[in-house]
Order: sequence, then structure tokens, then C-alpha cells
Amino acid sequence: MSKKKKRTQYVREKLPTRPCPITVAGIEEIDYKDIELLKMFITDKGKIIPRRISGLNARSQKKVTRAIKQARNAALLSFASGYVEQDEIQE
Amino acid sequence: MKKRNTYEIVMVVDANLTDEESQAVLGKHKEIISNIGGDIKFESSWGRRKLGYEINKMKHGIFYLLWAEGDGDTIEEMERQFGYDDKVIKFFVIIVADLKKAHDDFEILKAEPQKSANLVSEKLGA
Repeated sequence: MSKKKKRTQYVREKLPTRPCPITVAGIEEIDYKDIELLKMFITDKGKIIPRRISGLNARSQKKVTRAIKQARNAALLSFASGYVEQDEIQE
Repeated sequence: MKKRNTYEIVMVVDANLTDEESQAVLGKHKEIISNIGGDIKFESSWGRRKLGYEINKMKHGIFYLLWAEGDGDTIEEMERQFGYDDKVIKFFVIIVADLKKAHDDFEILKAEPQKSANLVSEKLGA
């Protein structure tokens, strides 16, 4: 009988939990027109930042995701390059 | 009788038009909506904005928002009419629970676009 090798157990370090910024700020509904808020949760390429990085709780993340997808369809955000800076209005 | 819902309608008009022309486009579609059984309660203009992506090689559009009541047939016909009109380059419709609240929220958002973003970034920084 061969000796069984002892398996090393990897224990994932527990990160300090941070409260969800949207819940703490007291924002209940997330509007797809509020692109200044939504741009905080997308990358430069327009991808939605995952929950483990954005630090949102499940409820807020779902709302944000929904709003971002709606904003893309309303031509407020880009599908491929995220937030689009508005031109300075001359005149 | 079909169920009546409350809708928020975003309408993007070609930005190459003059103010008068774009108002005429808005007026025309408002009339169409009223004729096919819709009931427009509030309206607002978001002005000329840069689009998230090019539509028909246009980079800008004039955004109008309408808050209206109607049934599914109204919306279906309205979307068809938007499609026939070359000057309407994009439209987007969602159901909202409360028309007045949606309108008021938009006016607040238009006045202070950074408000909620600042609230959240304060919490992120803290």
C-alpha cells in the first residue's frame, strides 16, 4: 500500500467585508438615465464590473446591471467603449 | 378592454435639424400618440447629447422624453410610426410605475446629474 500524500489545504483568506456603497448611500432605485452613476460600474471597454470587484451586494448589482443594459439600448452608453464624454456646448 | 400601462418613452431626433424642425417632429408624434389612444401626461427635453454609439453615421441626437398612458396596441403602433420617420433615429420604451414620480426624478437628475454619483463616491472613499 502506498502512502497517501497529505493534501495541503488552501484556506482562502477572508477579506474584510465592506458595506455595499449604493445601499449605504441610501439610493433605492437606479435609473438608466443616471449615467454618471452607472459609469462607476463599467470598465473603459464598457464591460460591467463583477460583484466581487465592485463590492455591491446582490440586490444593488442586479439593479445596476439592468440599468446599464437599458442605458445601452437608449444610446446613452456605448456597447463597446462604455461612457461617452459629452461635448462642451459652444454658442 | 386591454390593460392600460404607464410608459416612459425616450425619443432621439436627428441633431442636424433646427430647433423648430425638431419641435415639429416631436409635435407630430405627440399628435399620433394621442390619436391612437395614448394619453401624454408629461414631457421633457434633454437637449442635444452625444450618443453612446453612432446611429446612421450620426454622432449626436436630441433627446425627448414622454410619459404617457396607453395599452399595448398604442405602443406597437407608436413604434411603427417612429420606424417610418427618418428623423427619429432611436426610441426606447419602458414601463414605469408612477408617471409623476418618474417625471420629477428626471427633472432632478437633469438639474444635478452628478448628485447620486457623488453620494456613492463619498461612501467608496470613506
